[in-house]
Amino acid sequence: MAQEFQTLFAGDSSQCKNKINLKERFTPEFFKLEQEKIFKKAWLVAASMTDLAQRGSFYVSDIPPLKLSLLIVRGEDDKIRAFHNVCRHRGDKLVQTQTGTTRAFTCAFHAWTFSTSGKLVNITDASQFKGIEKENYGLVPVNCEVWEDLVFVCLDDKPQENLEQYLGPEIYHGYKDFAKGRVKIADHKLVLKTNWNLGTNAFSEGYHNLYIHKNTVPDYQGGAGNPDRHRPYLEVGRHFGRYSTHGNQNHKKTPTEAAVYAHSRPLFPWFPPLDMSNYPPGINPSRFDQWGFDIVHIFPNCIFGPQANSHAFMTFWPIDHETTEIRNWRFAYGSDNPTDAIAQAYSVTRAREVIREDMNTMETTLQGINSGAFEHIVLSQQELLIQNHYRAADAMLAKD
Amino acid sequence: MKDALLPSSFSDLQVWVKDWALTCEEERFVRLHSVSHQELSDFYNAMLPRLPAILEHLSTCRLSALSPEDLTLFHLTCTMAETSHPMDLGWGATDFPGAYRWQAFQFATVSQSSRAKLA
Repeated sequence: MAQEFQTLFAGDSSQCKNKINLKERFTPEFFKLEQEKIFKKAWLVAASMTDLAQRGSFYVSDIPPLKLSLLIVRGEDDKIRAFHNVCRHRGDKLVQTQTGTTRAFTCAFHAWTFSTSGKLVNITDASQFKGIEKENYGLVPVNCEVWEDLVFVCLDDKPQENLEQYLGPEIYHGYKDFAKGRVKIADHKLVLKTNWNLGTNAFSEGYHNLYIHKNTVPDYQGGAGNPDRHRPYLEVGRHFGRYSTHGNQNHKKTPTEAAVYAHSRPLFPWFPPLDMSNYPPGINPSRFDQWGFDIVHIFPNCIFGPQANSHAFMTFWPIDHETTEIRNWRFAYGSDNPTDAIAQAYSVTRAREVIREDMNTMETTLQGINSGAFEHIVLSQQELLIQNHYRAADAMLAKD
Repeated sequence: MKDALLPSSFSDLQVWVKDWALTCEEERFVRLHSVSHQELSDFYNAMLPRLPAILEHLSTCRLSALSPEDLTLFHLTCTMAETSHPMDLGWGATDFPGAYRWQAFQFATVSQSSRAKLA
């Protein structure tokens, strides 16, 4: 009998549990705790730097669990700042368009104008405001830090940790410049009747791919020596979990895939051997030689998926305890050759169909859990990132 | 797009331009789910054998400086690439069981062709 393909495990999983009671976590009362102790305290993914490329570029980022609209902007000094997207005069939503480039923000209500650094620069009919000084009425700032091509925010008035401390050195320092030269190639949003934890969980394990992805990517992972498609590498940390996938070296390209990838760098779902000497250490951390891609769960609600020539950030935002907004941002190497754009269009839409299979589990799983048919779900070692997700959640919920 | 022309060496594909030379992912996704399997199959079967020549031709161009004819060819080819999955993967229909409803997708302004100069 052939030896089972072994996963290399890393990190401290001693506090992870393989039996989780989910139903108690999906109530309105529990969601209130998550809002206060997780979403108000954690560092959250708010924007991509590709949407903030020039001075004056801005991006409006909603934070659904906290019912907030944030304005992320690159100032004339190139600094990235985040503000509440609320006019300091009467509280109307200041910027109504999602993204763009501007020299200043003017509120549609009474035309108060703010600079890209958040200063109030003009009050219309100013003489009628008695005792109101402009310097006291700038936009309200939000804690904000840039990591690689992402902007994180923290809604805690006094964050308990900076982003480096929150992510830990493995993540914060492990991906230096990985996204250099990448461009956004897709930006999808969906609202599902599911709990945000289930959305995040569905993208935190590879156990399912042999089964539910047979219509879209039947042979992209594993291979003869790894029929169950075990993860080659799996690691858990305080606010992250990550694994590498086994790219099938005998993957058979479809006719269109073969034609378009003849003119591009390798893209999903084709993972040929790769020279990784120029990749930062966080990507394919164990340097597995038949690497496909990584999945990195950044707690609480981001799934980061680095590949050789592309990457994705998916985020799962609770609107309430049973409604979740999913954002799917995809990036690939920049190129001025039309054939690269065609190959990327092929890849991103193939992946979109795969994601539709993942999403198809999320609403019915919530229904199943809420039915109360049983008390706890059970999780395998290949699903350790899900175990770690609930461990991290419980650790934050236990804090004052 | 309706009156756009293709480069002369690809004029045999002109008949597909009107309905299939679409400029963004959202339009292509909606198109995929608005046609019959037969209509999709006809477009796919016309385009697939021509893909190597199209890609050879476009590989000599710059995305940021495409001629109007090459831009039309680029959009037509993007639509083919993005609607090829049901045919390539043998679904026997334009969609497949076990996929979350396609109507739920909302598309932001970004798409592959946003980097090409729009006609």
